[in-house]
Amino acid sequence: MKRILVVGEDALCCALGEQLVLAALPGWAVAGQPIDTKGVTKLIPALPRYAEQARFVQPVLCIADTDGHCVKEWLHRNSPANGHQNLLIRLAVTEAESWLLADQEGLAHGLQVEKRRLPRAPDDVLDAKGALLQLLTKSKLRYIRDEAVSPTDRTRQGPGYNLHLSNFVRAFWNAERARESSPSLARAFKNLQKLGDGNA
Amino acid sequence: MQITRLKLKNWRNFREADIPLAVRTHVLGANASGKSNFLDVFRFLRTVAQTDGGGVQKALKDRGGLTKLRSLHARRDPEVLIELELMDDSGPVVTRWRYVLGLKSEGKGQQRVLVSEERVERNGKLLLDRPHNQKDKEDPERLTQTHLEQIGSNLEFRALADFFASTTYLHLVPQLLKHGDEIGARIPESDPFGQGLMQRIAQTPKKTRDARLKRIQKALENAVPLFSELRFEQDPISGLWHLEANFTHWRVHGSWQRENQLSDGTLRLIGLLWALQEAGGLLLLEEPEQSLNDAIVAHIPLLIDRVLRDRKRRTSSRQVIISTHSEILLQNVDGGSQSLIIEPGENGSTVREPNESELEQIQHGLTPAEVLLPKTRPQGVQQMGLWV
Repeated sequence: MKRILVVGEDALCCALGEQLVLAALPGWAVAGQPIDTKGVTKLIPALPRYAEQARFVQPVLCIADTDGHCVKEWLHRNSPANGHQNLLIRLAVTEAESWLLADQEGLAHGLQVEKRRLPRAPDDVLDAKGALLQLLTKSKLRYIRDEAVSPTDRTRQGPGYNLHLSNFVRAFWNAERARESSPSLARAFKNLQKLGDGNA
Repeated sequence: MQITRLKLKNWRNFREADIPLAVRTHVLGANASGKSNFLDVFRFLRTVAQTDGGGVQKALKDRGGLTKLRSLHARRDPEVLIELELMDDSGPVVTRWRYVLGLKSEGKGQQRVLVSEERVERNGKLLLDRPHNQKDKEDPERLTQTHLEQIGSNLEFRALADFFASTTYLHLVPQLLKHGDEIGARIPESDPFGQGLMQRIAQTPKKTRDARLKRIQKALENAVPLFSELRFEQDPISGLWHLEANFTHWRVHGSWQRENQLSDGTLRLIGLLWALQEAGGLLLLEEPEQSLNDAIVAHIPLLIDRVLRDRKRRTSSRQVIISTHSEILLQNVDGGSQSLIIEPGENGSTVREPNESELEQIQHGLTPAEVLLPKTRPQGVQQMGLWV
């Protein structure tokens, strides 16, 4: 079985990367647990190392947020000089949370939020994380309301944010459904498939 | 002297293990997987080899007897076996040693623990083979002791006994040092938990002590904010020795604080730096990252490296085995060190080296922290967090 390493700038990106691989690359496996670099500032300097890994050992999928920056500009500035076709850097526009919002059905079911409140075009939402947090405060699940959102400031993430959302991604989130409404996810999906074809 | 290979049978939670050891070895594993039990092999041998108050029966007693020591997974074969291969490169020619120690319960009468096997080989030549000799057959009482602990019998392999006895284990518990008077605890021999650190420092010849403290002071100046000076003074009334650190503040001369006022991290750092400078022998470090700031943990591998680099100049080489959970510590080790992964399973824990694919990943860009540490994470934590 072919293997691909998933690297994410946070736990949520890692979980999304895993699900993307499962959906876009049938017959492939994620190499061990994804690497959570704990912040984009640690991911960028590590990119040359992952490029080396991609060149010599196995394909690598890196997932990060654009955080409002232009994708092209970001890639131009941060792509490693030793880049390789097997190193796939995908950026969620504007944040990983936009990809989460893109699966409306999964979100409504898994996190028990109202479907009609979900944005139609999540890539165009400027503050996807804020929008998601606002939805989570209205979740029917008590542990989501209490732990995923900060109890003191309802616009910030709570201590259980990464844990609960990563588990949601693994259990309910569907990449096939989500790519219908998020163009940046659809592109990531397509490129991942292309990488799979290239390594066939 | 350096241990190059270790084989275990029925040792605590390892039913079987067979692994090579490098000059610097990191032991990784989840909680309760057996990292401390692994290090305990060397502490056990140290007690066996110690001439004052040591011996195999003492080592067993310290651990609650053979029944507590033997793996729960030992079903058919009840023997506990430790086998070590060693290499001595201090002389002009390399000498290779092998030491095997097997222990078994008597199975009748007093149920004493007997030596079921004790073998020593030097460069492949058998120096000792028990109990297959006339004397042991004539007097079974002899089997309650090892020859390693007997000065009268270990003449030919004294170097081995000395090496085992010189092992240092460090797991400094700052509270024991700070609140020693209130707890009133006994200091175990060889002081693994650092309660007797002050006595150990005091027993060191003044010149050596001053040189070591000066180096520690230099390290602390960089690591501890506001720290300025370290001194080792005897209390004129009680006669006890104390370590005092000066911290600068608004008064001109700063304030002197004794070891029981120092922070946990400062104490652990002092203990670590002292142990690293102590004479040769195997050094066992139990989670050196505890209580320390990440920025300091990142420097621990370099510290250990410096100690190891001195190895060539010294007659006795220094081997270090470190148990750790720290990502930061592992991120800063170079490729030359070895990592061992302990994985718990139904038939006890297994200990292994990184496999080929893991080594390939490490060779091409990834750090041991990225490749190996995720394998020691308990699966349940990721699924649901720690529910209470």
